[in-house]
Amino acid sequence: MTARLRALPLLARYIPRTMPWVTLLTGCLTSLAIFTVLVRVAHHDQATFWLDQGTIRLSLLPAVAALAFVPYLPFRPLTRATPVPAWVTPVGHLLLAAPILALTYWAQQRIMTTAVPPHTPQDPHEPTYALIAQLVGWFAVTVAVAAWIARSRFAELAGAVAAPIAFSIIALAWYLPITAKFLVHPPAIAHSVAIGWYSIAAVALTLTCLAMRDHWHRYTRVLRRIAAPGRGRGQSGEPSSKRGDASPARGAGATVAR
Amino acid sequence: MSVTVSTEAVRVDGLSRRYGAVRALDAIDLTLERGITGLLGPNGAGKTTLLSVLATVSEPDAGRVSVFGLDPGDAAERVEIRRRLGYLPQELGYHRHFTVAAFLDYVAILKEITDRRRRAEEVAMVLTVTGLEDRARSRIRTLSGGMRQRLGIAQALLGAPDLLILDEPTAGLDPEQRLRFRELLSELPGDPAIVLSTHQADDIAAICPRVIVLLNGQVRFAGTPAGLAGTAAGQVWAADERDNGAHLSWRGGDGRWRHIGEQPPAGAELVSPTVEDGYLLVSHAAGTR
Amino acid sequence: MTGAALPGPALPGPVPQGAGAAAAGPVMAQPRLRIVLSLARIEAVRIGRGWLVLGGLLGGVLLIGAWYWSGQVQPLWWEAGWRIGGGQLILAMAMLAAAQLAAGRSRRDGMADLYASFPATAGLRTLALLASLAGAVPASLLMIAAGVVTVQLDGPIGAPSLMVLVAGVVLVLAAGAAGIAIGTRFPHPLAGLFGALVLFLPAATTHLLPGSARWLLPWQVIQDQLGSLPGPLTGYPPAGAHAAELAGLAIAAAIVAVLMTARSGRARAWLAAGGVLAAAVICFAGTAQLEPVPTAELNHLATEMADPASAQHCDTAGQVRYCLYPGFGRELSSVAAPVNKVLALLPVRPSPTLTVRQVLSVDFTDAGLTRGQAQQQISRWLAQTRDAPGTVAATSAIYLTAGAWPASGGSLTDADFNVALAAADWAVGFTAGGRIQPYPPRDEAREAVAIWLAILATHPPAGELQQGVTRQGFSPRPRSGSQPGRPAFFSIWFYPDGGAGAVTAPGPQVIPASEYLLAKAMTGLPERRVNQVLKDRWATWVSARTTAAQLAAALGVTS
Repeated sequence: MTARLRALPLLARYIPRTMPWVTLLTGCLTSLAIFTVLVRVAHHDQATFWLDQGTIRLSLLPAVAALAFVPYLPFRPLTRATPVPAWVTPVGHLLLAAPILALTYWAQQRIMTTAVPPHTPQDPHEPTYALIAQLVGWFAVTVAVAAWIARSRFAELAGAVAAPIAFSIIALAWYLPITAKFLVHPPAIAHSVAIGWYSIAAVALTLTCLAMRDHWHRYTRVLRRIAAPGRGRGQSGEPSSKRGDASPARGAGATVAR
Repeated sequence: MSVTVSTEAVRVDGLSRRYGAVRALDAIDLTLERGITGLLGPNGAGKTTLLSVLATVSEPDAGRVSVFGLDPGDAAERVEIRRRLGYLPQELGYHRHFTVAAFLDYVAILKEITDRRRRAEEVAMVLTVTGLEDRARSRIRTLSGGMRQRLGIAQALLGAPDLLILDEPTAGLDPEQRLRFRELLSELPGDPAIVLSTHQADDIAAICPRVIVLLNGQVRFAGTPAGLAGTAAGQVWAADERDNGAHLSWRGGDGRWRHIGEQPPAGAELVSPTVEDGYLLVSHAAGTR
Repeated sequence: MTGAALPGPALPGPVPQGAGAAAAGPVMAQPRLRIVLSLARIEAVRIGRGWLVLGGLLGGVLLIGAWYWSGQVQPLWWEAGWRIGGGQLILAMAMLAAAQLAAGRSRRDGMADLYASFPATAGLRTLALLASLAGAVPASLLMIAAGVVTVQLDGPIGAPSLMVLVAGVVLVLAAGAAGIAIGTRFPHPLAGLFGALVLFLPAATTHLLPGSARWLLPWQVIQDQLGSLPGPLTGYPPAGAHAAELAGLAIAAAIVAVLMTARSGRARAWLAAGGVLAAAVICFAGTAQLEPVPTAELNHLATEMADPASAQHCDTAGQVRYCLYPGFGRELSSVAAPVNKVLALLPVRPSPTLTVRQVLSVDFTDAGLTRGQAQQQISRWLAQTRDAPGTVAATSAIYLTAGAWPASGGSLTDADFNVALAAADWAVGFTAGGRIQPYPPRDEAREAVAIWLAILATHPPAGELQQGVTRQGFSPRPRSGSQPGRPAFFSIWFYPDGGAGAVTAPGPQVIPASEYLLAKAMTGLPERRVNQVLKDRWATWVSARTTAAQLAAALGVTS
């Protein structure tokens, strides 16, 4: 454990270098560019009263798409065989991505404040904390989907698979009447929205942890079953006899099965 | 947590692994000692799956694995195995913008080589033994395919592993590098256990004291290369004409036909079997069962 | 047992006489068209069966289904075609991402060098990819079929516009071509996702854009004004020009894709000429879309809005006049049902005749509708429609907004309840002037009676009704020079899906919760007993001065 802890600060040098910066920054800058264009168009068309938190949410979709590419690690087959857990690097990447996403959101808010004079109620029914909860939920869902995709046979395509799935989940949560009742304002109240999306984020975080855990967890479960009294094989620790009709070897010390 | 390390390298008992309906490994039993063990088998035989299980990357569906007496099913013991492990996957994947030295340094940290001086020494050593010392500052994207394969071997050698698992390490290497690789493996200090999968029977014959033939997820032969060659003793013939009655026939580089079969064709002469002959006969026997 | 020949290395052995000529002779070149078609067939199958396109198809069908199966949208064909196009937009996004992945596959997988060694050039492969977009046409047609069936099952008004439906198919093809153009240059999968979002975001933010420019976007999913029209309007929206624009964009994207891979100078010259042609088509189609809607059409619309009677057909049933626009006649039975049920429950029927009238809610300030019209003309239309029926409530009329009945914003049950409540409000004597209530609202027994009648007539879910109870605060208006008083809180009740059906009725806008609670208690009493109490002193109970507490006392309701 000590050796692993000692490795962490040393890895800090490499985690930023393995981070998909270009992808993430492209996503965030595209979000900002889209938001700026929308604000400009609305301003030009004297339609700034239409600018609301929905505009921020929609224009953040490219950043969400880029985030779906972050948890993927190119040489995962190797890192899974090293004593330092394979999740360290993706988690480091996500920690690095968090302030970038927060910065993007903050910049959007600044642009919004510039476009719309202070104290102008844009959307009085939806406080900022509810919007932040929604965005945290979106990001967490995206990361969870991406983490599971990175574990699957679609890992090579990474975010290209994860982002559409994440968007579909978000859209379903948003538009299904049964979930919209708790997650979208209106009809839900801001507190309910915040609690709902933070709950989703917590579930997504749990799923992310499950996706990033070591691949041997299933084996452990099987072992427990095998270790149960009266079940399984090899209880004595001795290897069981070879399968098949193994015949004596023609060469020295060899075994051939036919 | 303290763990006891066994001198026996790997013991596998009833190991099975499925991918959907495909049974990649079918109740395999194996014991591997220190030294080099070659793994032969056609594509899809289960070699990569077996190696990834031994490398603690994939989990089996059933069976037991013990590496140096450690159980990879136990989280702490699994980490202990990984501390003694060098692994070259079949498809490694790289951060192409990294330099060679930086990549090795990164992997060394992942292998918990946290002492800076020791890490630098390890990196320099593996660069030297793989002949990449003059490319240490090159970016990975500028390396040729063979050089990347050597880089993969280099990262596996980091930390002087007790168990070296190499999945087709000689693929993409030129003849000189293959010879150098054989030399390197046979001269590794500390007598590590090495498992390498390959399609090159001559690699096996040259460096492996033990060989395992894996077919359809099952072990079909386990013994010495001489033993594998011996399975074809008295059944390999050379002739000028093709013999349709033979189990296997092919034309060699000298233009003569080589036959494997129990009955000699007309005018044929008995020749000494090679590891490849033995492997082909075992494969054929498995295919006709 | 037969011998099996192993594939050994190809060695320079003795070659039979005569065979060398054939071996070393020129290899017959395959016709380029055949190569393109063969590759296209493979790619079309890959794209068409890919999870992205199948997911897009499913998503699009679900979106269309969500609109119509939930009964939240009235099936008007002049709008439904564009909504089906909304489903096509989802498919188009998936198609763009799938095509980008296909076009960038060779570079992404590090196989560009291998592909470059093949006799089929990069240009031919791009052409094959473009041809493979035909594989998306069945998916697009399937979505149209699913959309048409869904709308038809809902009993639509009007007839589908073939041009709008075709434009949806062209949208999918244009998105695919754009995906190939993107993938040829940018193999990273994120590029395709961005392309898909660029399709989606303008469609989701059309409210921010100038009205006249909205038609230039790839697709405007929900056309608000379309759903408020009594029928199709010539030139609104300009479907033909939009389809032409999308076709131009598809050709332009295809040309860009081939230009990036074609090496021949001659081919490039032809492509450049094609590009100019595509640009011309786009400009021409764009200009056509910005052309104003014919003034005569808008004049007619303004007249239909200001004076609905001039265009509507009226029927009298059960002493109630139902006036609906032509084509909406089939709605008569669904509108009349809740009204008749309320009337049947009334102990005493009021003498004035009730009129249930369909009205228009058209916004003439929307530049999407009135683009290119003179400001003076727009002002005239605004003045003409300022006092149109439905803009304010009337004492003896219930107004239903065209396109919003039967269930805009809610289910049919909700819409039925709203109409029933409107009829009950009329029956208990509310007038148009009584809609604006003081704060806190007056406590009147007659509203409890109206709610009771509406509940008995339509039986809405009890839980839904109960959800409408809420507390509201208001600050008394401060006297001059003094601080505002402390806000007062009181309980009110509103029907949770009050927007369903877009009903304008003479009833009060704010209802005290006590009146709903009394109505709820009345539903628990024997109907005959409540009827008797109401019938005995009907004039008292429908008086504005009688409180809910008095009615409760008369009924023996204690709490």
